Amino acid sequence: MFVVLIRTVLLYLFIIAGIRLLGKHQIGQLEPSELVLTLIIADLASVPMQDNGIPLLAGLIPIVVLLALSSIISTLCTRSIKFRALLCGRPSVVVENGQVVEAELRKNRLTLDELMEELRIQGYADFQSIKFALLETNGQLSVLPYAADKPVTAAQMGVSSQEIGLPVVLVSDGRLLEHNLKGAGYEHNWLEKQLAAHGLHSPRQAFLLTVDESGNTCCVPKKEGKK
Amino acid sequence: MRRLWISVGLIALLAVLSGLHVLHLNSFTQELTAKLTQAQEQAEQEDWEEAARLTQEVKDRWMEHEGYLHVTLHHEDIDAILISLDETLAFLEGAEKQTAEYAAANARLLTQVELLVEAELPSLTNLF
Repeated sequence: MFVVLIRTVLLYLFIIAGIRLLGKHQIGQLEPSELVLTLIIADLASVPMQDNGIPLLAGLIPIVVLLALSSIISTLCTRSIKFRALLCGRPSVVVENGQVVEAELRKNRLTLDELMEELRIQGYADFQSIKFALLETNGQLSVLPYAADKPVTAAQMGVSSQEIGLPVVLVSDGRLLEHNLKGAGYEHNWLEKQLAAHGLHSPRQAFLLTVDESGNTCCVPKKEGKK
Repeated sequence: MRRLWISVGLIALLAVLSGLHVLHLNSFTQELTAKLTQAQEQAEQEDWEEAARLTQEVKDRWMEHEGYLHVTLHHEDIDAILISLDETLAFLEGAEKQTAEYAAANARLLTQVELLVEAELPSLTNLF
């Protein structure tokens, strides 16, 4: 049992390191080659994890090779448009000027029901208001409505709006994030005043405290009874 | 670009190491099969002591390499060879020498050792 435990820990750490090296893109939006890699790696790791009779190297070597191959492919994809098109394909226009492009639907094996479902998820009940709908290489549907159907922006209305910038978390679950506090250019005195304004005496009493670039704070106190 | 070369280098390194492993395993198993064949010849001439000594030498060599073999090969195959080695030695060291049984056990052991390296060779049979 101890052997199984050590092997599991080793393989788990190895996969985490590998996925981390591939970057966030791997976790968020998967291209075909990346999806395959993710599926195969999970399977490769689980076999030597369960079976003591298989040497650990039999699991590690394929994983190293797959990660290296994936790295080579992603580098080639960024350097060559042709290679990228070959490996990942090109986006397909499935709706054009409010009309469904049947040939593209068939080519991508996308049914009309699935297309309608995707459009409804994105808030479009019919094709009439859609200028273009594209099936991206990662399988997601991008919808571009007609200009007349786009939501009005503040700039179009001539209304001035204040940029709030990126809110910075200063207190997270009762813990003061010193680095963020100093990075935002504030001192402890300022923090105490902000906490006092919300009826709190210590960062430990706050569940969340953020500040934006304009100096506006958002404070969520911890609920009573919780430590 | 550095990432690309590191990846290519990594795969190349693994390929070289795998090649060295196959070469090492090949020479190691050839050494064992030579000794086992010699032992078989000695047994046919009824020199049971020499046959037992040679087979024991094979077992000792096998045990020296056990750590390396366990890391690189399937444990079932390694254990099966160890069992066959003990079985063959038992036939040689027993009070009543059973030539036919020893010959069968030794032949099985030889095949098992030969298959060990054959399974590691990047041949078409193994690839598909």
